[in-house]
Amino acid sequence: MNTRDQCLSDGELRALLDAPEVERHAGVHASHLASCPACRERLARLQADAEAAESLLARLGPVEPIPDPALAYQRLAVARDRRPRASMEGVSFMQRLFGAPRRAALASVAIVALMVAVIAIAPVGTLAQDILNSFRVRQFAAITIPMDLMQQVAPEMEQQAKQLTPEEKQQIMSGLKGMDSFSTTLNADSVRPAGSIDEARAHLGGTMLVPSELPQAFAGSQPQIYIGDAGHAEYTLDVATAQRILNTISLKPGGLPDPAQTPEVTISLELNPSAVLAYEANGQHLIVGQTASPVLNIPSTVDVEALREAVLSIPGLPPELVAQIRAVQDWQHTLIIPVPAGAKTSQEKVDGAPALLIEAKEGSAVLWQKGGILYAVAGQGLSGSDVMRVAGSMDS
Amino acid sequence: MTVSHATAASDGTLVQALHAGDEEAFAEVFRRYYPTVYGVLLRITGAPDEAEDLTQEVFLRLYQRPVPLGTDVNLAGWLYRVASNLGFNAVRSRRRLRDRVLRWARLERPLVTGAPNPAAEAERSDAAARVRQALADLPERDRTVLILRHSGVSYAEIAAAVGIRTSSVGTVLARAERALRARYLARNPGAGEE
Repeated sequence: MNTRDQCLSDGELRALLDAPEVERHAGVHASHLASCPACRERLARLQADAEAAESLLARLGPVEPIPDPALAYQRLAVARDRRPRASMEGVSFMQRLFGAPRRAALASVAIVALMVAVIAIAPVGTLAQDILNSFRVRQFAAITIPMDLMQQVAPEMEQQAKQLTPEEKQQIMSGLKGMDSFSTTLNADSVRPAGSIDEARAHLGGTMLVPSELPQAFAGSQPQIYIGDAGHAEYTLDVATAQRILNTISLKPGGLPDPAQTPEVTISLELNPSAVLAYEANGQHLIVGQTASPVLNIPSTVDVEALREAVLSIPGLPPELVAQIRAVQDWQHTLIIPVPAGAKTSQEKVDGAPALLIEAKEGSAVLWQKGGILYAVAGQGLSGSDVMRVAGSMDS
Repeated sequence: MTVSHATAASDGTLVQALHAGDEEAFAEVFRRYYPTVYGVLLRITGAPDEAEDLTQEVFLRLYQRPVPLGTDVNLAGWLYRVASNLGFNAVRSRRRLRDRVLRWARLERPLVTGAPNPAAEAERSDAAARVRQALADLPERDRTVLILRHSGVSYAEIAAAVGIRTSSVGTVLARAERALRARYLARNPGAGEE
């Protein structure tokens, strides 16, 4: 190795401290160091800084045992199964559904997600002259999700998958790569604490309802206040690819436009500013939330009515679930809330507006819409009458 | 100080397997990187249960969105970048109540248990808080480099995590260590570092 004439930078010297065997004894840097007192002096200073930093940072390190990775993995597996693989920015989530060993289960999750997107959130209008149809939520309805929905849908999907030839599977895999994309302006900082109710009120544009009556357990407690930013999410589908894949797996591509004229469909969701008051007492929680209705924009080239029918006719869907969805009145403006089997739901009134009350053994919740604003009151361990009293006391 | 666990080649193989939906590859990544990711997040948050939750979130994100395939795959760098972003975001917003609500909703219990000595714990916590205050005075990138390096992460992985050249890691690290020392002494005049 040659000796280097030029003095070493702080970065080069610092790296030497972390790789003494490699760098000090074999590198040109070491040769330079041996002949340069100035660099040696700087190296000593950097070493003192590094040791001081190490000593300080050691105070942040684990003093308790690191959790057992095996136990942690078990916990992760539970959480992972509860959270279906979702669409994420830059990645096609459909691309992944047919590539994993648990293909059928994942596909059924996607079907349910699609149902929620198309049926629950996507009210339909036929303003054909508009470029976009924009929809807002006017009311809520509940549907009961069977506990074994996945098990009911999965065998059908498994059967479909078995019938595919290797060539068809390959076609699906390659098609899924570019079939769709998702992007959003929302991130981990889109919801954050606010300093006061006045700040949250200003965030909402000047109007915010606050309960004047709380259940006995929460009397006198002050809420933690959170605000959520307005945001935008966008899902783009390559129509020709989607139709080809749906045909391959024998599903009707109903509702999608002619790809020759409309190669891509982009569905967007606009979220408005939101605010949440979170009360806590004796380990229990009461949540009060409000936001102007989100707006879903669907291109008028999509026949959502036909798409809805196509999704509802997917083989394996429990008839009682389909019947519940079909029974929803004014479904064009209704946000469907899936509730677990065993929960009791009823239609009530809050401040003169129709409200959906959900009562389960874990607690109760009531949701309503008035003046274009969606409200929710939910409490752990609270009865239906408790949350209705809180909702009824809300005032600006 | 330890160094990286994995070579670039094995990272690449694991990432390819993740894309193919290989459950065992995911488990292997978890076993290999869990302790370091947890250590990074504990240093950032100072709260074992929060660090544990965030560590789980890091791996859930990997499961949901594997590192893109490519010639410059750096799985470790990706994990540490996500971990440090999540950690600093959590510290910034301190959504402790929301986290408790979520934990209640999941009916989960932290894995770390035990009955620490209250006095020793208070002293340790106070010492850690002073270091954390000094760290907060540093730019986020410098903080991240410091914590990753002192958690045993390699220069190449640090470079991938914060988006700088490997040859620049020493420069940032040297500056950050000097700044941390200076900020700590400025905030705690008369205090020793030992």
